[in-house]
Amino acid sequence: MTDGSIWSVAPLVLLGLAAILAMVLAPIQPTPRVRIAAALPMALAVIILLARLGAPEAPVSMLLADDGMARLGSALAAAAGLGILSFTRTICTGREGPALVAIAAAGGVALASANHGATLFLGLELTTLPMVALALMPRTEAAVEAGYKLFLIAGVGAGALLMGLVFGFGASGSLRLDAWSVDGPVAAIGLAFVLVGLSVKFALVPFHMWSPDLFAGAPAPVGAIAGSISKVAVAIAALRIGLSLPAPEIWTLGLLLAGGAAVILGNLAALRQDNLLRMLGYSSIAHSGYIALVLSVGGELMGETVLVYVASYAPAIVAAFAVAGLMGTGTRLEDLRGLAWSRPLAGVALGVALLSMAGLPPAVGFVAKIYLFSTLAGEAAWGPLVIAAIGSALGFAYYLRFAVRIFTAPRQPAPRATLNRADAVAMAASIALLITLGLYPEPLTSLVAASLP
Amino acid sequence: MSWGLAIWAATVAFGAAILAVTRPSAVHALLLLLAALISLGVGFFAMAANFAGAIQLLIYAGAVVAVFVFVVMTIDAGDEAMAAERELLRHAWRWPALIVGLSVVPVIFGIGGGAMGEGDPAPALASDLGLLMFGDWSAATELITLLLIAGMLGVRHLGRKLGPRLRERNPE
Repeated sequence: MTDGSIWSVAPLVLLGLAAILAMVLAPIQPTPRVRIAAALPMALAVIILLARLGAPEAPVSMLLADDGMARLGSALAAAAGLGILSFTRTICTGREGPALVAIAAAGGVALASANHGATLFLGLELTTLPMVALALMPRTEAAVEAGYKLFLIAGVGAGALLMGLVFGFGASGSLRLDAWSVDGPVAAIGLAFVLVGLSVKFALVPFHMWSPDLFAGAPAPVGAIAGSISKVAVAIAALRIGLSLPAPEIWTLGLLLAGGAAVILGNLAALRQDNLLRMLGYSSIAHSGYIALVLSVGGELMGETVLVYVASYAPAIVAAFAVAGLMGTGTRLEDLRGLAWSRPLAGVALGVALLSMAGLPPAVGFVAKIYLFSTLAGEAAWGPLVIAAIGSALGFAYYLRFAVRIFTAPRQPAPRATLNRADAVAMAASIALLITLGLYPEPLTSLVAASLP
Repeated sequence: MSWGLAIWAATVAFGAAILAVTRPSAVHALLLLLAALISLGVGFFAMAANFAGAIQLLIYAGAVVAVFVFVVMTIDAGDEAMAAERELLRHAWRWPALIVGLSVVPVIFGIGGGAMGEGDPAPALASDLGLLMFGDWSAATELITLLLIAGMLGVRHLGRKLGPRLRERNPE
């Protein structure tokens, strides 16, 4: 083993270490201390990943890629896990919470680096199973429904993915991600099954049913994992599959139909929601749809657009869930009135996150939307462009409805509440990230450009 | 190695799988699932994949089905329950049956050639499997251990009695 390959496997080892530390310390230490014990190795993993972004490839195993895409995706997944840890409280996810968040982050790293069927499947399961376990933790009716819905639908998705791997193996005798590039119906059916498996995890229509229930019914960290770690990792896995195949029709057409339906249905359903988290659940379906449209259209900017989009969406969703974790998962539109007065930091964090998801300047979501529209327009894909434009216009309506309510003066002056330190750090960091990268996107775009072949 | 026997076993497995997803009674479905798993094992043996065949019989037909049996023992299988199940399954069987049916498509298309049946099977021993698990595939082995930890944490929590705090929030 050379020097480089030790560093290439270090992030995964550190995240596994974080999970085991958190699991062992959970019964004997209070949760805040367990969170710190898990956060230190995770932070170290993020630092190593970012430091090695331009380093030469040193893959340690044939199952895990060590290219820039894997490193950037892993860094995003681990950083999102770090943010989610800050609001993983005993009250909602039990003492097991931090360990499960660390395992989900490790799953995100495995999935973002997967260049083989085995790691693709294991990474997908490794992000799903901790989400199910975390969702069931409060054992309330809504949480149990959300957890089982995810468990059953994700089980069907995992079965479809395995079926796709088997068909690819039957067609080409290989389990690598280019297995479906041979001609013939067997490979095409296999690729369709893989697309179904990924769409379930990516919450594309018609496999989206679990997403709103999970966001609104389960504890806050679960929705945050579904929106950040899992979304980043699945987008990168789909991008990697797309790049290793010569754009087969069944892949692009399937992504186009599922993505277009997700943009339209997700945005229309989000428009009618009164509950903050249910709105975020439906709108996350729409965001998956935008990424799927880019993947189906292809073109030179495809990789950059997908990476910039997930990198700008992940901090926004983590910030929104940090606030939702503070206010309770049943937060409705009216509860947000005057949040900027009673808890200024939380109000600003949620407001900036919503602006970023809507794609408005000065938040980083604006940059992502520019990439999205220039890719679609650059490839002269007018149909997807119109769908994305209608979706974004609907998005302005419902995101601003919630954002405006935060900054509306309260009816009676509410007392100033104090935040605990972990919440405050996570919220301040995400505000800084969303605004800085929105005003000065050059670091983000150059990181993304450096991480693509 | 006998292709005739292998294809016969695969056909039996396919038929059993179709029947398994269309039965209203959980016990019958389970027995048919067992039949499908055993015929798959026979298919492996017929293709001279003795190790895979043994694993198939020991783990899938043996251990996994035993777990299912424990669950089925808790299911009410009286006449009333059967009638209710039949009512529920009146339309529900179509999709599972279609998905099982799809699995035969590559056999129809690919039976003449492709990667099927090329080359002699290499002898597979437990030591080879061990070398693979801790050699090329060690990353997958480590990921599976993390997956087991996640499953264990979740199941342990679900199996715990509700404490006073949880019971208060979750009145029966």
